[in-house]
Amino acid sequence: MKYTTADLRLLNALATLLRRTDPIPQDVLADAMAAGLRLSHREPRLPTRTLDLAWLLP
Amino acid sequence: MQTTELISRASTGDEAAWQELVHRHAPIVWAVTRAHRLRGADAADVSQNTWAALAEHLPRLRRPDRLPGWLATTARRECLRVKLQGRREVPTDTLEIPAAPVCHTGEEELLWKAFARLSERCRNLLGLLAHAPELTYVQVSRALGLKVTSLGRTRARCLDQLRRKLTLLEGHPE
Repeated sequence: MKYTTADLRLLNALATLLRRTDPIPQDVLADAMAAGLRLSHREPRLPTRTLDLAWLLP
Repeated sequence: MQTTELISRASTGDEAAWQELVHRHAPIVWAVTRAHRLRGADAADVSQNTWAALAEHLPRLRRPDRLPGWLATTARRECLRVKLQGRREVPTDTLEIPAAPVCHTGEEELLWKAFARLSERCRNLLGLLAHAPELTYVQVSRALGLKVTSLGRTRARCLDQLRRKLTLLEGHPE
């Protein structure tokens, strides 16, 4: 998508506001951070659902 | 540090790199859950599952530059899965707009009032683009379930409406 400088300035101001208005709960962030432990601790993979990887296509 | 390098480091177990990835991109996942009217435990589930899926696939990511789109699309699928399970979706007529924030400036207060007066579709679209303007039309379409063919016009209309409401409020602040 292409934006004007004014568009980006407006969206950036909106992002700042939304972070304060609807902050991500700390426990949700903590869970997201903890998900990375699987990478560092080489934890065994959990059974996962099949994910559609269509996004990889151009 | 570039996202590509963060992904590379996180893939090899660098916890700080992973935390930075989460810090930068968590608002994208959160914006998608909000656009699907999920709150509380459901929104938390979507977030957790999305990040768990990324941790699972991170070492095999072929296009790190597409991470924001990957997260948005995966979050959308998690949202649909939760909704299909018939859990705690908030009905439209009781959906709240978040309480007005403590605004640091008068400009911020006007922006918030103008944003709150937009349609839900525009709030969802601009709410996502605010955190991830780099998303492509296709990625936004997938993340929000909007038609890609009309997305350009919708985006332009939403931005225009936001500006118009800001202008009106600047002339007649409440």
